[in-house]
Amino acid sequence: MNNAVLRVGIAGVAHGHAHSYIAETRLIAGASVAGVWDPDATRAQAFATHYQVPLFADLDALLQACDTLMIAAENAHHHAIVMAAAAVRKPTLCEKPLATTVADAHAMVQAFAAAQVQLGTAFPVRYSPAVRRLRDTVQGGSLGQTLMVRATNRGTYPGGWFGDPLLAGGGAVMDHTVHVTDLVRWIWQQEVVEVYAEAATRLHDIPVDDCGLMFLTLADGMVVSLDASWSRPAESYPTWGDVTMEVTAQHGIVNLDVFGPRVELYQKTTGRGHWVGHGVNFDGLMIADWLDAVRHDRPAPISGVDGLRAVQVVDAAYRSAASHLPEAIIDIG
Amino acid sequence: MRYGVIGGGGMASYHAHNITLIPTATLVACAAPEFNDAIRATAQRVGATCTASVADLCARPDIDAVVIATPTDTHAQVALLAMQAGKHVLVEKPLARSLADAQLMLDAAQQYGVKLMCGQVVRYFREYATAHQLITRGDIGTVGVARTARCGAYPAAHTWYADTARSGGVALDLLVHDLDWLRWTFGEVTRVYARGLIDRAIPDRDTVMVILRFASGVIGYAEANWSYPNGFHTSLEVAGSNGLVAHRNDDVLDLTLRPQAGSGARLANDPLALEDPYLAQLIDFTQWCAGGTSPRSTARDGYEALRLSLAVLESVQTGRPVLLQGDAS
Repeated sequence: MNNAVLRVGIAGVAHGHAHSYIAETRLIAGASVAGVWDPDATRAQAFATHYQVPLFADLDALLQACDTLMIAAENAHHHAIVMAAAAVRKPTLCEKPLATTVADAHAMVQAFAAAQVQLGTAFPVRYSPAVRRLRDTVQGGSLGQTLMVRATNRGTYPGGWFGDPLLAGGGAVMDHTVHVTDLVRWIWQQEVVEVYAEAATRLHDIPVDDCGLMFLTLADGMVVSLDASWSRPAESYPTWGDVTMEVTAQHGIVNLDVFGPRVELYQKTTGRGHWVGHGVNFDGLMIADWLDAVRHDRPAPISGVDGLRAVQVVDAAYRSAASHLPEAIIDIG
Repeated sequence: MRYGVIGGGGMASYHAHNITLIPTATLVACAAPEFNDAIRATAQRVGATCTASVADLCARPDIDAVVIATPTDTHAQVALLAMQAGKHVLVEKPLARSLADAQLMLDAAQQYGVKLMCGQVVRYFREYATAHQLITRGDIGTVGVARTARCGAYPAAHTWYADTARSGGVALDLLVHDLDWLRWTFGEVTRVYARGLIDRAIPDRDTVMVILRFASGVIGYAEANWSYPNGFHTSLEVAGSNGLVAHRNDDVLDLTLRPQAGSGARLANDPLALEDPYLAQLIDFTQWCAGGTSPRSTARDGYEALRLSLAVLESVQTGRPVLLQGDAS
């Protein structure tokens, strides 16, 4: 596969990241877009027409025509698509959360382990230069031991299928717990062992949670507080949301604001301010790294197991929100 | 591109390090009367030689281009030497200490058929490039008023900054950044009136404030000072008929550290330097020298930014507005 053009299939375009995946793939020499499929034929047709890419009527045909699959379908569809890709041994990059249940995520990881090809989870925030510097700072040791972390991944309510429990598998906690969980695991090189969560539907008239507050406890006892709420009013808030951490360590305090670099824009016509981000394009770096891993047959940069670990935390959070008690991570692997 | 670096201070060591990050570039030699530790370490790491003689460096046939980061008043002499030897030149801002020197440099680039670029690096800062793009594509309509500020600590480690005949003070050293960005974004300036402290002989508090009028009708305010005890502050705000663009660097840092006193805590560097504007500038210059398209900032832009800075100084010293003819080219 080393010299051939890598053909990328896009399975599911319900998630907005489908647009950045196709745009970024097209920027990479040695990669091309094989085509698109979506469970919703109308949506697939619109996407194919907009981007002038081949439309596939069924997933199996797309799998035959591509070397690697990128999935941006609704959360609940990830499992079936990933299992189909495993059956024909196509390296697959799946949008987060990897699945809506631990059992599904576990089965997906097992299937790819058996197929001996790469399963990746799309956690682009790992590619933020500030996140990378924070990881190097923590691991470099000059901060001493980390005592606690205050984290946020707040956002506007994305609307559409994100409010449908059958398609999304949950609400804000399902959508926004996984990014920070992945960053914490990657930066501190430890697993989350216990979660306490309060979740509620308070801000929108939807059948899923839109407010979520959690404590994630790591193996060494370090605690991360996390706000995963869809608490930004879309009508007036100047950006979609945030990823922040305040790290309290023995020798100092570090503040991370992943989407901090910005120019502020206020226009007479839009009725709200707008923060124009100008930081590094994480999606582009993630796609390039993924395709390079596929091409050179190296392990997925961010694996299916990483995706599974984050789903386990979401699962514990929802169990805790129901039991009102701290809940241990259940590792069925 | 095989590089030499001329200068032994902070900016020279920064450029030397950045050269080593570009896959198509090699650091061959460094020249300066004396070097700081960082530049010696970089040279040693990549096997580059360090020499006291600028002439020796310029005479080397295995160098294609030089980066010049020497005191401002020496830019012309050093650049001429390098260009005569057939080297492409990226010179730190301001382009020179005088317009006559700057003109000699532009002429030499023509005469010897080499590339000359001035490091007006603010154009490569993502926030300034983004603001420029939003404004020039019309997002805020017709611009009325623009303001900028650039405040930092006096570079006390280098005594030549205090000699305004050599450095031009904060008006040439810092304000030139914003004057270039303003001219890039709003076009030519027709009139400046400036107040400042350059004649007070307190270089470590040097401050300059200027009100500008542009041919486009935009009015502008720019300020620079060396009075900040620590840290570095920049801000810009541009108001138009349809909106406002604003940026303050202190609000938007993506990673900050408050160390406990005496703890030695420090932030790690970004190993890929993906957001480094100096590296982006150097990459732009390198691809231009290799036959690529013109860089975002040209030597002519450096000349015009210098012309504005000198007009600001003239206004401070005469107490009168200075009228500028259109583009001198």
